[in-house]
Amino acid sequence: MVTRRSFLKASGGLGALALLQGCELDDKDDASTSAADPQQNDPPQNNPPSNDPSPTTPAPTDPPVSTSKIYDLPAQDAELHFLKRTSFGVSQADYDAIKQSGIDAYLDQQLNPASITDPAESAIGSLFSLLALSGAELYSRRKESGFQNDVKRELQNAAIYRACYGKRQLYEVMVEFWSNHFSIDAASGILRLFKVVDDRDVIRPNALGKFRDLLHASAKSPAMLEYLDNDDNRKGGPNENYARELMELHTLGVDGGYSHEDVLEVARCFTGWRYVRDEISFTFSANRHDDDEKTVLGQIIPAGGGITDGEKVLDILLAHPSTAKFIATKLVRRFVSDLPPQTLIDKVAQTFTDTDGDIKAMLRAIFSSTEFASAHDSKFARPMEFTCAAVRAVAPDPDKYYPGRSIYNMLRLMEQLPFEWSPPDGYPDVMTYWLNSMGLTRRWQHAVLFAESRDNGSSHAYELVNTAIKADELVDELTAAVLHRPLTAEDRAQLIAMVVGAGDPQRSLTEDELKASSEKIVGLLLSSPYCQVR
Amino acid sequence: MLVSRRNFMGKLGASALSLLVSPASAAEDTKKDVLVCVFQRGAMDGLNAVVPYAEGRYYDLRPTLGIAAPGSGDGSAIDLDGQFGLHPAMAPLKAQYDVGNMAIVHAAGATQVDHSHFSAQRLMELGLNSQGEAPGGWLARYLNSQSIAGGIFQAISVANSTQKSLSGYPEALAMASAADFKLTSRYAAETSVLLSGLSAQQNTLGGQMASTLTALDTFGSLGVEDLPVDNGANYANNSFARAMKQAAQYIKADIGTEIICVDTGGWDHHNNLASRLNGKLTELSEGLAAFVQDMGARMANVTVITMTEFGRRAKENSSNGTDHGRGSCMFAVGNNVNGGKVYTDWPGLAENQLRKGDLEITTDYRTVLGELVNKRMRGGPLDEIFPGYTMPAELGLFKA
Repeated sequence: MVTRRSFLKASGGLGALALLQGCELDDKDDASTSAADPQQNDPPQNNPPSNDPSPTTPAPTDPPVSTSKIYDLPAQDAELHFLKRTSFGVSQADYDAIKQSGIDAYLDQQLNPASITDPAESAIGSLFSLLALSGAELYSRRKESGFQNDVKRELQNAAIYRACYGKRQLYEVMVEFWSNHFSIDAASGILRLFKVVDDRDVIRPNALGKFRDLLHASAKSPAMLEYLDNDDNRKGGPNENYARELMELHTLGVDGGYSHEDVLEVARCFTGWRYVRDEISFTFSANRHDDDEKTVLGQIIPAGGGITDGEKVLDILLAHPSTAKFIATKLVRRFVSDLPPQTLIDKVAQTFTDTDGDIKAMLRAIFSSTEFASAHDSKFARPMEFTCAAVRAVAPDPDKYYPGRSIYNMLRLMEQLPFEWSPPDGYPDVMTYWLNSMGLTRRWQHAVLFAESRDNGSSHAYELVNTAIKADELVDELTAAVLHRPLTAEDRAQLIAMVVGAGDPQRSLTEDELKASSEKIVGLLLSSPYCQVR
Repeated sequence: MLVSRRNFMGKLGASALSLLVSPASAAEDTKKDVLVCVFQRGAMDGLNAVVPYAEGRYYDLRPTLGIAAPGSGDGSAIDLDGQFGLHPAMAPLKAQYDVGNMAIVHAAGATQVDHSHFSAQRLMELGLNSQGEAPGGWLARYLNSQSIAGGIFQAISVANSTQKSLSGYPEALAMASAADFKLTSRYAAETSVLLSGLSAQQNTLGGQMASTLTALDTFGSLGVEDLPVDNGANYANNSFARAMKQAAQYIKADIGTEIICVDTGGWDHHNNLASRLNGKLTELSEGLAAFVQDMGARMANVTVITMTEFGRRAKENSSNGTDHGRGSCMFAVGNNVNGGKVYTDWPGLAENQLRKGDLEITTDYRTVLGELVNKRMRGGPLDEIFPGYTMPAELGLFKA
């Protein structure tokens, strides 16, 4: 009998594809992503399959290789690797700056965003003026026609604008990270207004601060209280939604050591935590609070604690080793690899414990690690990173290009608009979720259109052409501008061949040829594996 | 070395078109239905979707949210069998039940679920009962167990990502939109050929790029998005209806599709359950009913199955909602379903019959899927597809 496997093996290419993709990588379930989990063992990406992983064969038990590249690309320098992981894409200006200052000085600056003069921030103020409204003002205007959608759109476009043009890139990366850790779906309803306050008062002030401050602020965020129903949680009628997700998604992780009874007890502790609707502000209703004694994770919370019951719960969770591990795992997955190496998780978790959850200290621990240094090309660019990186490389001047239309629409189609992930676990952070035929098709469609699109007469791609006259010069110039790293010799030869066809490769190109070829080359570079990894 | 996509395909020894339809699907095979697998994410309240109205305890647990017994006026349940009634928003599917093409499995689920949406969904999509038993999804293991290679459109996710049930089967395609599954810019044809040369490595990314380019090559000229809706079916304007309409087009295109996965989100009703569940059940029922009508005679070879990660607490909460529970229900729709029946070993709602306040699970969801694989799909090694599960006697849910 010809099994499907043997058919594919006999056929060559596809067999290898099937085998190499054989294992699933979990995208959401943090508890199952530790390196020790046999389900997480993906074969090293560029090695041939060693055997037939039939479905019942246990996966190998060796720890996964944290540095497995998604695609084998020519070497890039350490500065480029660092920039790609700590930004929404590499701009020429940032690349020049880090090459001059070195990584350490650049990181110091990025970790102190207030020290960076950022023209994007003044632009935000005038482009998105609704975001400056107070909670009371936002609420009072809620019935104006189109107002709530306008507010939501401004909030999303501000995030996109900052990702594309902000100078405080690492800060914005962390804002995005925590916005997903404390995810709130603001796609519709009153959350469109509430999320503005959450973004402004909870996430942004604390994105590079202490995790404790973030957690406490989030627990009192009207948007979170509304999104996870704690506003309805009252004495005698608990609503467990926030209590469960607080432990599963915000602190301990699903296997972090809590029980169903803990969920019920934590819910009791948070009874009476509500918001004042017309101010979009926090309030505690003592008359709705269950003030009897509770037991959370084995610790007794005495009767009569009032609002401090919930605050104590947060501090119990903060002190629990599962929380340090859970936060460390997510950070390492974000910055290093879909298969976060246990050695680095342990180190970052220790930093969490030692520094009371200092986010800057954890980031420094990651960026100074050998695991980070060796993890080139091991993260897949998600839609937000893919589209914004293209803007940063190809359309670097905000006076010539506004990303709030085409990038917004692309992210809507690719389903990664900021603040619109429906379940409370935030957008997935691993390739297995984002790499698929629909996503690639949308990327390619976008890349080619974006390269040839025109804002002020000349296409984005042609704007990048400086001194090139011949085909090889054109390919090299555009490669440097878009990728900041060399192509393989084969890839370079293919692009040059595309430009000159059967003609003399050394002839000078006409302006029309330069225009058309630059658009094709940039479209191809953006579509290629070089721009799908970060 | 320049490996063009054409060369790559050539190496397979088959043209794209001959890969389109597998040999077996060309043969007469009455046991092979197209499976449409619908996942209701967020945990559907099975007790209000299919109401155990004959049990008075139901109304004690749900004084506010309970759906009135059949014949009690507006908003009352639609009787099914003297014991259970359909939520009134599910009226569009009642005709399917009445003609014997819809069955319900009640008090079903994964018995080891722990109230976490994310681990419970993952568990069900992997076809497991506890974490860590096997890599990949249950549908991927089914597909990989088949002795005959499928076509390139064999498994389609009508979404922007492929479901975990298909993880481990990298040939599965995500095709949220037939209209968008093409490259249209003026350099598209040229770049798509060159792109295959720039992505020739045989790793996960290179493989996905190659298979996507192959699928685009074939699909672009088929005009699938222009296939009309048949039989006067009327799809509503919501994401589930659009996905079912899309699924129908893939089936009508006869491109060798055997498995279609569709998601419907938004079932996590911790508050305001009455209106929110009403809306979701309306979407689900209207969408499935429109699909059945659109498919018409093709329903002789299509089976729809629904699943959700768990049910909800038997007792309503103080926000007019329900918190996370255990047992829920599954719906099976198609001409090959032994329908017109609620299949259940009903566990009861008395305090000592509930498990910590939750409806107990008396039918493992894999019992339903296993019978589906055996009777309406090509069959396969159930002990591999659902590792560690010993299949009990079949429910008789599907025609042999």
